[in-house]
Amino acid sequence: MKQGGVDTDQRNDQELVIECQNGNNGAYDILVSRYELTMYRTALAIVNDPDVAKDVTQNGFIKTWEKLHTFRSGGRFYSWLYKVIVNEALNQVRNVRRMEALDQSSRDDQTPYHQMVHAEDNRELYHAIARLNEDQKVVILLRHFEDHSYREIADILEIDEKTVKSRLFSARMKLRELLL
Amino acid sequence: MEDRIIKLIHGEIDGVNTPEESRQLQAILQENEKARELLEDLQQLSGQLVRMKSEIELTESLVNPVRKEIELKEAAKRKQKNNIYELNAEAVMSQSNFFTGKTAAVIASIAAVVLLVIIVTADFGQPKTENVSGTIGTDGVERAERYRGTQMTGDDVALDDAEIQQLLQSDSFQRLVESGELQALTSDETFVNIMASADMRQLFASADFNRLLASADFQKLAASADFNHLFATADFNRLMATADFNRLVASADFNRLFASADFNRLLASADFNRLAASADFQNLMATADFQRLAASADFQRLVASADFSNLMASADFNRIMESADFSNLAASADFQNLVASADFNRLLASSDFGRLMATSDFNRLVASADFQRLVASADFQRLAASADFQRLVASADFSNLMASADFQRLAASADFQRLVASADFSNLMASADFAGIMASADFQRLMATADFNRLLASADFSRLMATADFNRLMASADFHRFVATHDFGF
Repeated sequence: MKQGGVDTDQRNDQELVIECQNGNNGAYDILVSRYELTMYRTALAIVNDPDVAKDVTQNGFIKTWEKLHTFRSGGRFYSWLYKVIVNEALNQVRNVRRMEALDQSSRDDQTPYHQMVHAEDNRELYHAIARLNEDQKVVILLRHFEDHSYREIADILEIDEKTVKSRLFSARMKLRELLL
Repeated sequence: MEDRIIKLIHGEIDGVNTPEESRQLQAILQENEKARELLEDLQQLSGQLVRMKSEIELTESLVNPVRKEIELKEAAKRKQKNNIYELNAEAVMSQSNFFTGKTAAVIASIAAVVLLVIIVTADFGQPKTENVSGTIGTDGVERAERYRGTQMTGDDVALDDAEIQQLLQSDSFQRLVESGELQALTSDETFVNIMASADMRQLFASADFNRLLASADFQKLAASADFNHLFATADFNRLMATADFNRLVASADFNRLFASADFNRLLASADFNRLAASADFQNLMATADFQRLAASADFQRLVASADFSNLMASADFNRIMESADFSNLAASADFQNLVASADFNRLLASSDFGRLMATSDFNRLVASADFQRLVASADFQRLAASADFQRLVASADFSNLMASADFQRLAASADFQRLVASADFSNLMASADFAGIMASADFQRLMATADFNRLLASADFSRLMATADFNRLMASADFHRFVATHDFGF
């Protein structure tokens, strides 16, 4: 699994979660370090703003820590964390939309996210991704940014593989259409 | 277009088609232009997504902000129970005969000694630190009052706390207490001074120090056979006692680099740790060719030259061969001498060197932003050019240690790598408290004393450090509370 940040620790997520549950917050540092970039990328793609994405990711990690005692052995920490972050990001987008009723399409050009993407080709692609719905965005990110298999994506999103394929294929076709 | 064809195309993009499905698709593509176009477009899209991903970086790690937030939340929770907790803690302390000043100082100092030596070791466990150095300048360190306690006696060893009692009753501890080494150290003026110093007290009280002591990473390393073995070796102890080593550790350059964010970021990076743990790197470090080159006058002169420093600091480092700085360096007499030297050529020709240079770990590290930032930093440049650093790296003691199997084994061990990469370790290294101790004259003197080095080298000390009891004590909350609050000034 592709992971961001420092990741030399050989303990798996399950072992680290148990250590956290036993009061060792140092173990949680390792989990944060392991997944921060992945989670940040996902949050960024949804909220379109690096600073907001950072906040969303940070809040997601803290919320996950607060609920660690409810984490059952055998579950996948990564999937759980991913869901928390995605929900956090979606809530953020909904709140912004509700409060500001922004015109997303006209705002895209000015977002800091857009400014982060330097290559011209990538900018066009960025515009196209911004026009996907959230479900499509998430499967595109999981497949192409994080290199997850259909099965892994299905586990993370708690949907069946068929739905993963359907969303992924339609997202690609839409991106192609938008880029032509 | 038929759904079946679309599925085959997506399957090809995702690499999930069976050989038979791929063959079917190839046959379709030969006759179906639209299918060909779709596949090409999606392949392009897929590549573009990967390229776009690489543009997205997290400029600052979230580990610290998340931890701070968690600490705040925990503190708020603790506040509710605070009164009861503190009363209990005070009761434990006041009833404890064991926590008389001297004995406590001995226990605390062992913990500190372990930690400090690890950190010194860690620094020299890094990939060829000829170019590395740094420190925190702290000249205004106040010298603490002299410790006036008497020597530790058997009477000091009595405590109700089961955890500590277990340790005190262990053979290792008893032997250490009875040994001449520990007695000599505890009556050594330098040791006593440092224990009583404001710097040490501050370090003991710091959250960073206590967090590292309590971390599982530290516990595991301190208890590991590799670590303890190294401690007991003659090479290690000889280096620790040399004037060169102590001069370097005392230098402002060294301390500045040690505390710099760049250095700590590199130390904690996955790339660095992967390389340091790799067999290729270890092999190269252990070769006589490498040792000879590192100690050669030509190499030392080159590393200390302005041309070399300029090159290392240049933004073009990645494209080193094309830059003007490199041209200048290549044209310099120092560089020419080095390149012409037998040592250099022998190293270049060695299979160890070739293998290391070809590894993806090495190349990833050199290309990483962390490495670039460190090498370009003024702290790094200053240390690399300092006479102290050059002298140490050229010394036979340093070379012997680096080449020793014990050192190699420790540096390559997972425990060591994990500790060095941990956030706790990085935080402590970067903390002002730690820097204060490292830069203090007392600490420098202690490191050079025969008593201190004799204790470190003793089998009893090594054995004690490896015991579970000792490690449990170091990780216990009571112990942390004690060292953080006890007045070592007596």
